[in-house]
Amino acid sequence: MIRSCLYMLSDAWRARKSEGQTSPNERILDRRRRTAKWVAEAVMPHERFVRAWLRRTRIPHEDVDEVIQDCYCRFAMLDEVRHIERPDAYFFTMARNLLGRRMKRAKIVPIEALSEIEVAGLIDETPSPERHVAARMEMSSLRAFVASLPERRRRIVEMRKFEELPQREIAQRLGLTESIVENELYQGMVAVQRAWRDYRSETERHSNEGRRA
Amino acid sequence: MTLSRAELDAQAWRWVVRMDAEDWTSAEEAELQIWLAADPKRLGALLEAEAMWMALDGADAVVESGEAPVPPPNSRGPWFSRRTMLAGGGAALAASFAGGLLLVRGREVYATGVGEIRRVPLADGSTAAINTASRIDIELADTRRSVRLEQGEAWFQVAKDSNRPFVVEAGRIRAQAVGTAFAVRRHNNGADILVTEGMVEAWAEGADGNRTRLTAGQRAFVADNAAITSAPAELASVDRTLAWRSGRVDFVNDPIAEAAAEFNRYNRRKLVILDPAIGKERFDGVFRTDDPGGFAVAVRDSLSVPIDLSRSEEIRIGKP
Repeated sequence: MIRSCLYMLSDAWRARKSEGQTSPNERILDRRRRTAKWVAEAVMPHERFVRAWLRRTRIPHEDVDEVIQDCYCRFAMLDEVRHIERPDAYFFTMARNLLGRRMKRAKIVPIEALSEIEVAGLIDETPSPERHVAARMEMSSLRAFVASLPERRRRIVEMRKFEELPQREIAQRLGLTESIVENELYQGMVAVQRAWRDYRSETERHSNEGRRA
Repeated sequence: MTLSRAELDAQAWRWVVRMDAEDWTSAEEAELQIWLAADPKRLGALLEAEAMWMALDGADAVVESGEAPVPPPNSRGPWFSRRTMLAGGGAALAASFAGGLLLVRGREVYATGVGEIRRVPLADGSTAAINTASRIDIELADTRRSVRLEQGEAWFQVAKDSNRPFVVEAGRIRAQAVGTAFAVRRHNNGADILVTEGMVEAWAEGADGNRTRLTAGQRAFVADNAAITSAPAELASVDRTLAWRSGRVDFVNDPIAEAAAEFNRYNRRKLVILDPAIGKERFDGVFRTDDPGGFAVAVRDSLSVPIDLSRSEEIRIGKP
């Protein structure tokens, strides 16, 4: 059997594409952005509560991180997020399932960890005002981390994120090359995320000590 | 290769920032896919970074619900006509109130000729892409949105509205969705249903008990006699099957006879395969639907078979 491999993309098709037809590439990008937007708005604010619950199961700290990490992998695989009505409950359920699997693999099944009643309570509980406020405050602390970046880096992140200028325009305004702007954004965001993770583990440590006292 | 958490995060940010610059190319996308494929953790790290990137500009933003399609700047034509259509609907609505009649419904019929592909925005925010030689009749009522696929094939991106299910009727076959995207192709003895997003229920009229639920990436053939044959389809193959929406046909290891039949759906100038042995050969390629000549040339060059392009009504492949 002869198998031939051909790829024919004519100029006419490219032209049609630029007139508003979406390419598979744009669709993938679009789907990814949709999921990320949903995670930013509806999932991430609940992460601290899911973590708090995971910590109560007394699994090692690294395992908490891994379960959370696994959850994000699952979210990334979703084709569609619009049908998820309660993202917080979804997050809890997913964390619980992943934790359950992990424990089965490790052949430990602490009763406490799999208490259905406790999880059901967490999930059914509508987000209390405090919880909501706490979630928002945590998200706004992201801005504080931006503020503590070195001067040029901070300015570039702010121009991109708060003033919504495209990278190209930032480069023009500051008389920099686009790759410098890209690199500053990269360095800046890596630092913001690191500060955020440190801050979170710090507060987690405090709350653990508080509970023990 | 396993990366430390810090390395993983850093690499994810490289991608996010690159994606944020303009002109994200398909080559870059392919490169990203290779990076992602190395470790499932990367997918999660990328999402976390991307979400944090978005959370920053949304520190005070309100959660938006539902996505209103934004018209691309250079596609004024269809959008302009849609606005006109809506204005017309408004007038009709006013008239019906004046007459004391509260029956608000819009009805639209769209048909495509051979080789024509149309994208139609519907008044409820949904979109229909109508393939070659097809005809659909759309009725948007208060409790139900019905589309009759009288002939051919169409793909629907359905706007979510839980009070008004979206039902496509293809002869006796029914496919129902709330907010999702799926394609229906009508055949003589039933219909093919292919789901690209969300979930769809399909059944044959009179056999409501025998319903099948299809989720994204699944396809089913529902026969008029209510028999249902379903099969999972890979996402890549879903994209290929729906390549027509961008005016392409995409073949992967398909028999040449089937590829020719596919071209013949779109063109008056038919491909005729004179030698059945050639028809059984497998073939890969992406073509414009209106380019059967290009396809014939590709077959000639790869299989070293003669073709005859001299006739206007058909293209012959193989020895006469």
